Amino acid sequence: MIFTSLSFLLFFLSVLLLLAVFKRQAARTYILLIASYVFYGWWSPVFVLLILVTSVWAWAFGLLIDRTDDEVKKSRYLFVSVAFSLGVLAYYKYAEFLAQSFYAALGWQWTYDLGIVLPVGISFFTFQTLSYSIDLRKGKIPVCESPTKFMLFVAFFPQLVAGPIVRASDFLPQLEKKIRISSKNIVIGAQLFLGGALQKTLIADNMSTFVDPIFAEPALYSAETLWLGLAAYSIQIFCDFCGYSLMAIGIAKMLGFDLPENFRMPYLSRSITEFWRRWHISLSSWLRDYLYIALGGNRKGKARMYSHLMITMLLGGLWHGASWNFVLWGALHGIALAIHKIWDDRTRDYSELKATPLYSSIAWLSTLTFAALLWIPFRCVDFPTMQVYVSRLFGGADGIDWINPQVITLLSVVVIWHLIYQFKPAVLAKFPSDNPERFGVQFALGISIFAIILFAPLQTSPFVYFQF
Amino acid sequence: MTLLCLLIGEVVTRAFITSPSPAKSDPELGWVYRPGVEIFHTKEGWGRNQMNALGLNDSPLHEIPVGQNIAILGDSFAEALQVDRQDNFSEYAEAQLSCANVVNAGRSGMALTHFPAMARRLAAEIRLDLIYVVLNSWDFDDTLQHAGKLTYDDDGQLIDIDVQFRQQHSLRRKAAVIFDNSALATHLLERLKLMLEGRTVQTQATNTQSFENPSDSELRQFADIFGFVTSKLSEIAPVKIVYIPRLEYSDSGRSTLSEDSYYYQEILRELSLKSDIQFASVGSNFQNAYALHLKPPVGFHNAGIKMGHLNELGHAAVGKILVEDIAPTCANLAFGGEG
Repeated sequence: MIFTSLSFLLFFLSVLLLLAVFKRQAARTYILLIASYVFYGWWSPVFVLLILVTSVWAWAFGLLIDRTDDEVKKSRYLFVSVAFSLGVLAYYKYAEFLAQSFYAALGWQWTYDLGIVLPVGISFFTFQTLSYSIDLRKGKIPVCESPTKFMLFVAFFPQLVAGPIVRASDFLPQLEKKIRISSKNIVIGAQLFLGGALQKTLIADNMSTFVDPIFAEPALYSAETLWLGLAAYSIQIFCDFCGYSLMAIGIAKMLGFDLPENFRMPYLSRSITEFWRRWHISLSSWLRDYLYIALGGNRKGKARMYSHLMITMLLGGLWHGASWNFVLWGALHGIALAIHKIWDDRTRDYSELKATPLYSSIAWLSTLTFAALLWIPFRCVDFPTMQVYVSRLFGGADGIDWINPQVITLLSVVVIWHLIYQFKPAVLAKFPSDNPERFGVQFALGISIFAIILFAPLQTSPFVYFQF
Repeated sequence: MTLLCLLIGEVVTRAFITSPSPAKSDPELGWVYRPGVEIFHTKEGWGRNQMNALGLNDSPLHEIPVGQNIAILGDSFAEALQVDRQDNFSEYAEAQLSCANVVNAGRSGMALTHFPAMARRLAAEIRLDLIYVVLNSWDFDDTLQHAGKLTYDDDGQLIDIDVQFRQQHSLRRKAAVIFDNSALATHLLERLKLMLEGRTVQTQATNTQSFENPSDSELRQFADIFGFVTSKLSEIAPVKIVYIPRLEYSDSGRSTLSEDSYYYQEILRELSLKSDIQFASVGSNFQNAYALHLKPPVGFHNAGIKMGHLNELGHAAVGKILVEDIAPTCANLAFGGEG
């Protein structure tokens, strides 16, 4: 059930109706939990059991960690809890990849199909249970006594399958307050949802009809088309994921919950470090807090810091998918982050120069180009396809020219949107508005709905990040 | 506010997407274009074409006394709303041939079973000397889907096809006045229809769609319909088959016929041979065009390259087949022979 489908609309209206009828806090918690399992079970009922077991396991070991004063036992309970969650993730997501890689390393041919189906959103809800257990062990958060509330934290349907990754410290306290369905929240949430839907259906889905054939067979297309395909994919993945996050935040808002921001115009970044502070913020901050800092961060000298960065980004790449392409993508981002750190250290005395428009422009352009180029390994299905794409891209290859006017139009729209954000932020700051009576709000909503109805492609693509 | 949004929606739809519904119900052919209506097509390509009095994408119907009056029967590939009229293959052939009046009688959604009715209508207006039936790899399935009611005699010979248009689209009929005047309503209905028909979600474009051979009974039924339709058409004028295959493309301008296209090509070639009908495939013309221009003969920049309907290059490739076939007859006419 994807957010932009009719089935989701009916499902969500039913949930809102039930919440309006049942006003007791406990009843509303149960309604949201059951709704979340229905939402997940819509894709595959069997895997509801998986999310249930994962939740109960993390919750139960959380209680054990809390109940004992013995530090060694606490650490053991944490280890068991984390090992189980990671084990489940490793089995579903990486078993086949590891087996294939092992065979390849020995020069053998992999001819088997393990038949493992990747549960949607497993990487997201696993990271949520991990953060709960680790934070609890560190004493950063209190234990969650209620299994219902904990299961809702893990399975909360707006962000269950593709984030944002929510921390227990952000979500569980909201369950202690009354779940309030207010017209103000619905108005704000609806605007956020619509903003996300615009990005997803109008921009990302239209881009995908151009991007998919090009990345499937890059050998057929000219270098110009491949450059346009790369630009289109850069926008597609941003609008797809940012759009999903915004819709998730909007849906949660309508239900009375606040979810963390996940994107802050990453393509305006002037360094790769800044890019990762703006792109998939909930993941990058998770990796920073639970991996990079846990490894030692920058506390153990420069050389170790760079290696920690590399490890973090390698695993961050692998988090996205079980493929060497993702490993390469993560590794190159890790190298870039390390290089930027070195550059930043060595140019510390040139802050005035760095503040000049020329420096900013060069920094922005190089960051954007680098981030875009790295989407090639991210998007290509395998290494050979990636090699073809890169060699033709830079080799000025002849081939089919496909200069899609819709793609050019949408790219222009996205550029204008970014320019407004950069130079006239007050225009965008008006949204979301809690005043539905304002003419501008009504007009923007009306036009947005029409734009989606008129121009969104009929074949909606699944959200890119569902596969992770 | 609602009115303002509706107004903007209407203006935007007319400017960039479609015209108000130009179609009317026809008991034999389904939905056909109203006489003289202008069609603004932007989904694939960018074509603005005015239909003639029969609702066909052609200039006003006329007959040439000397030379050949040729009908092109086909579906949307022949109708060719994606390109301007002067670029479609019917016009291409007519422009190249001094002795031929080529009538484009293609219509979106028409299948083999509809062709006799269309040919009869044309024959009632002008003398027909030759009929080209233009088929593509989708026509096998389309024909079986639109087979209608088939009547067989005791010997198992197909003796009648009842293609009465089913009484559907009742909403559209009842609210015809809205759809006839509003581009927005037309577009929304079209989208709603496609949504309700349950268009499948497509994730990745691949070039390796698996093809399954049709069953024996499907092949038998198609052969029956093909034989019946071509015999009916032959009663009006001699019939020839032109086949538009689908290619699979490789780098450096190489291409091959797709597996399904090749399969149907050979089926049609065999059926044509049995019915003593001339058969021609555009396959090699397509392959040569792709090799020469590095541009597929189907697809458009604003929709998809290498999929969909014929573009200008594809129409020229089909047009060449027609010209090569008809030109000798013109030469005969020039020397006083019979057409």
